[in-house]
Amino acid sequence: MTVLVLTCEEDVTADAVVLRLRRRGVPVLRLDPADFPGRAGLAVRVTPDGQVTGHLATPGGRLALEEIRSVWVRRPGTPGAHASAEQRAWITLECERALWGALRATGARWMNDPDALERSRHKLWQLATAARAGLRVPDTLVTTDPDEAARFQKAYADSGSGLVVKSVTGRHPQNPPLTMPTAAVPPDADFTGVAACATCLQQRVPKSTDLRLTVVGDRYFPAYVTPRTPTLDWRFLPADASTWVAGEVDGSLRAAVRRYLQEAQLAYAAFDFAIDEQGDPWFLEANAGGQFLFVEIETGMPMTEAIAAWLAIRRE
Amino acid sequence: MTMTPFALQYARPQAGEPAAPYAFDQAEQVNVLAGGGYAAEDTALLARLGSTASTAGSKTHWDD
Repeated sequence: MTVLVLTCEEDVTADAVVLRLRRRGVPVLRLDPADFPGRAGLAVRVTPDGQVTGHLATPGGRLALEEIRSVWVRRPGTPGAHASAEQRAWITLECERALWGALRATGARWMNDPDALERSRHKLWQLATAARAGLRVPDTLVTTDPDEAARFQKAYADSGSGLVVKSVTGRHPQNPPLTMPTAAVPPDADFTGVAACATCLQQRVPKSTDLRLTVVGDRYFPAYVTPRTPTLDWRFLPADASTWVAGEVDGSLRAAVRRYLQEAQLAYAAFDFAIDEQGDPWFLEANAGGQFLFVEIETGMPMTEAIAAWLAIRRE
Repeated sequence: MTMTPFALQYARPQAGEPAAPYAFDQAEQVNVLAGGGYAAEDTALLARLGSTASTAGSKTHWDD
């Protein structure tokens, strides 16, 4: 049986897992849904007795749907990307439902289940779920009300910690292309622009370092930014300014993370925690499609192997 | 005049990404270096290019 990897061609992180699977003798087919229809094709039939048969065809090969062992949702593009402009939105939706519907109907194991993945993209849902799981979360306000934003800032100015602003989605603006790092909100901020778009304001955690905790199934891979120079957003540190070092997390954090993953129904996630000056972790986000190879390269922790091993398990 | 969303006051111009010296090989189903070999195994190159960094692919995908 074959592992189906849904991702774009330039995804070299997926390459590492593909190579690892191949060395284990596990067949792999890679498909970018953006190539469907066109370079990639599909035929699926559901018979009156509920049997699902059919195949996927890509430039890399052909795969019977019943032969899919597991599906790794990495960085898939959107179907219809190469369709003609006329009716492209309709073609995209038709093909999206066809492809993802066929894959859902196969009964294959997912890393991660597409419905769980979609839900887990919502920051507010993440924060509420993390708090219920027993993780400490920063006070967060998402609003389009400038007065509400100003009151929230005053409350945290009075407590001395201040606020940060971040994207609700984690996505960077593209017209024109910009990056959206987490930023400190100055004491004299003018919140008028809050009315123009939903804005995410968050209590600033007095941070001593960052923890990136990657979880693959039941395997935990914690790494800390070193040197422990507090920074608001490690994603935008110069490459030579810091490194990741493998570390440990205690049992209570592991248990809370496990509860989160159970509620989220995720097999994989990369958690970001701020570690405060007392050494306590604050949940910032759990990225169900988060990158991991950059941490593996620096720490040597075998995340690629763990993902390959999880994907290689045969479905029941 | 259109109001600028509050969060965009803190956005920065996006840095250009260096050209990758590898290309996807349909038969191999992975990216192959111009001089041969698998891109995913050249970790020094990946680190230098930022190809596996947390923000890699953020232009087209939701996840960091």
